[in-house]
Amino acid sequence: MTHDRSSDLSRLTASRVSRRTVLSATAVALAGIQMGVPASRVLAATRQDANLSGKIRMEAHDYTPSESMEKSDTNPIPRKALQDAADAYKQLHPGVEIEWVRVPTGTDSRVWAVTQLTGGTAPDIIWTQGADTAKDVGKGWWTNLNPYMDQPNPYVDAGAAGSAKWIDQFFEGPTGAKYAPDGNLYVVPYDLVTTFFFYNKTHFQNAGVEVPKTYAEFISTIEKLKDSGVPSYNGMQWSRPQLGEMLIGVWKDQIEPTGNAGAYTIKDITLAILGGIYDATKPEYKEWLRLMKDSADYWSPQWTNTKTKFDLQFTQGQLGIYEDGSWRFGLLKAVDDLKFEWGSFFMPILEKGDGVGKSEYATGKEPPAIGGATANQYGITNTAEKNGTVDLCVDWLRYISAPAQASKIIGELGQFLPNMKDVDVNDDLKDALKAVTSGVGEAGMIAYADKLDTEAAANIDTAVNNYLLGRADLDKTAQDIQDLLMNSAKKLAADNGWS
Amino acid sequence: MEARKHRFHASIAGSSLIEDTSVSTSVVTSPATPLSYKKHKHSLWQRIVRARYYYMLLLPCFILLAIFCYYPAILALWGSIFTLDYGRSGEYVGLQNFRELFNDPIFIKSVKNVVALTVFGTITAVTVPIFVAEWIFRLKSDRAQYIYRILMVWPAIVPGLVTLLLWQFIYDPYYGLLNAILKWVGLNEWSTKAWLADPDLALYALMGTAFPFVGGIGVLIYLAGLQSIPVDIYDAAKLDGASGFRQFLTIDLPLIKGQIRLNLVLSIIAGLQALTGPLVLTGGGPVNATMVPGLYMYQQAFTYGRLGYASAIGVVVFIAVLALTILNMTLFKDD
Repeated sequence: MTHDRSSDLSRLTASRVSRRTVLSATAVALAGIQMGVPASRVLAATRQDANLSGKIRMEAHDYTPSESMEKSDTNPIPRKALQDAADAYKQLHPGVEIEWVRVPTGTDSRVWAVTQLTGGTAPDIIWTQGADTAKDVGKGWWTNLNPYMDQPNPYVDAGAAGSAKWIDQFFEGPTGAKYAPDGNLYVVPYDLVTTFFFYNKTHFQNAGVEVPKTYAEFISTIEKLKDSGVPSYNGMQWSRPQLGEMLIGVWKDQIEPTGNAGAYTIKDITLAILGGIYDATKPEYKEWLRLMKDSADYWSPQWTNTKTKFDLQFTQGQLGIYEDGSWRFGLLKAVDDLKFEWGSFFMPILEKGDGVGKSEYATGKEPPAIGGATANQYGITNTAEKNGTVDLCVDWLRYISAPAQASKIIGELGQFLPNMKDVDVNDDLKDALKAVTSGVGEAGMIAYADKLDTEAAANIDTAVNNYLLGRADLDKTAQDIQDLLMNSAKKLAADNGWS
Repeated sequence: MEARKHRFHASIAGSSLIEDTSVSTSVVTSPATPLSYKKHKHSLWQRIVRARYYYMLLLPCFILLAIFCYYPAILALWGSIFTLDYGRSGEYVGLQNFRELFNDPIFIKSVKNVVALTVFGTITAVTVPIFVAEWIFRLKSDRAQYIYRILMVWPAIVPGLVTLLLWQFIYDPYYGLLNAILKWVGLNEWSTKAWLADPDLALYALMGTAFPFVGGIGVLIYLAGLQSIPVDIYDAAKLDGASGFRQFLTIDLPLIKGQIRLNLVLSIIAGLQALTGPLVLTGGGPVNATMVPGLYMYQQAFTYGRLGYASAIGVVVFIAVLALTILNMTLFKDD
């Protein structure tokens, strides 16, 4: 559903500045300067219109201010940066009220969002993912942000990225990949996430292993960890498609990406499957399966159970390597009584060659960075449309995406990388930010499961796991996967009229 | 008693009902009801109108039942013949969802799993509590009986989720209690099993979470049945020289048939609707080894957005529960 209120907004921003505005802006500027925010940024913030008013209900997900600033097991990272931002924003716009909505603990966020959106009771702004809003096109649930993205973000400094067009503030690659197939952007891609292997240095020392540089070394590492009596590794997660991309990535020469910024879409992969380019019975795909199996024997025996608490096992020093997202940096740092030193490494490269952990089909390219703007993305819902608060929501999102606010909000949590330029980055995530923002992240991968129908992807996962458990042979698994791919592609093509 | 009932009528029903108290009171209190009705042959509608205040008292309950129980069930029945997704209008597909369902290997697997869980769960839930109830019933001390009754109910105050999470720790391959015990008794080969992660073991591990299979409510139901058996029967049996086991077989079991039937129906319904265990402990895995229709329905509805297909699963489960309940009622019909 599109929502063009650019004219309303222009009218609002053009309105006169009252004495009250000047006074409140001065107060905010002084407060901001006291807090160490560059004066130019603060002054940029004072250029706002004070007539915005209304109530915003927001499900801010990871950045939702914690109910207490006391650290505990259930509140490992107390946070209030977003609350501070809201307080400052309310000083700018005294008629504005911001309320935080929390998803009940243990509830799947997407399930919760779908239920709320269907019932018309969703908060005005909720955490979502571009992949989901893309599936929701035509349901009228989300506000099209394109018109707003073309307008300036008045909260950034003059001449800085975003001062001419809000969209310029965001990294092109990851943001481009978030556009829905109808060409609209339904999310503000606030931050970025990527994946790492976190390892226990004590276990590495005891097993006599070093950080692996290649996939073959990685297998050798987890084998030695297992031999030393340690549950070695929680099993391949996002490294599965990373490994796959270093094999079937060679097919990309024959598949034209039609998504924004070079992103591959479901349509691209569907047509590639139907055209016989993307085929699970090809040797590259089989090598992908074989190479995963090479390492599977050394994974923790609990890898098949998705409910296993590997995070707890790692924190308690029971696991050698834990493959997880960049959010683990913040969470590990927040543990006061960690009894071991830990480090991290990125997915090792797949070498060309024969034998365990190598393949003659390897592309020889570095593994792609998983991620993109997949951590906290905010969509404006049909509730805001109904309540007439879309402009206010947009203004608030612009405010918190300005570097002055975003640096504090993202930095306080320490789990994610900013998707906005000129925003401060935690030291341990600087390299990762370069890797993620140099391309389009997972959106540029053809081995990533979001390029398939969700149910087909889950069934393929089951087929792969059956093979890794030794319950099916390679050829049968490849054929089963190919059947699943083809059935899914035929259905998607028929449903969407793709040819 | 009679006078109290008259007051009750007067207070809630008003003067119009007082005029006909003879009929109303006879309905409530006397076995001569049929005769009274023969004298005053009223149509169903007339009787409803006369008793309208009673029906009005029941109305809120039925309205809530209709909104929260019947309406969703009817909606599911209706939805099962459409392809539905949240936020989109559905397309009529007739019985296509059901055809797909019966060719869906995951659904078929889930049915096999739920049958295994239900059979095991029903056998243990029906049989084990009988012996425990019998044991408590035969305790000579009333105080001891009371204490054991309380002990039976006590575990019910612990949320089921907590129990399941405890089992997650018990089944841990490295640090779990089960493997520690197995190692201690010398079963080294078994002491390294990942019970919830092994596709060949996970379903049995789920069955094991009901250990020691003594449902407190089941025990109390049986105990209530046993306590309602007249003491004279036991006295007569003792005079005839019947042993305790003989009394159990020929007196207790036949006379608590109603309670057995109730436990049987409740166990079958609970078994077929099983969801929490797989959802919390395995997520239906590994490789669908513990998938059950309830969880599959949830996945189809919320993960894949296939409401019509999920509704079809719900309808099949409903029919299965209904059929098994009717079968059970027929087989255990009171003589």
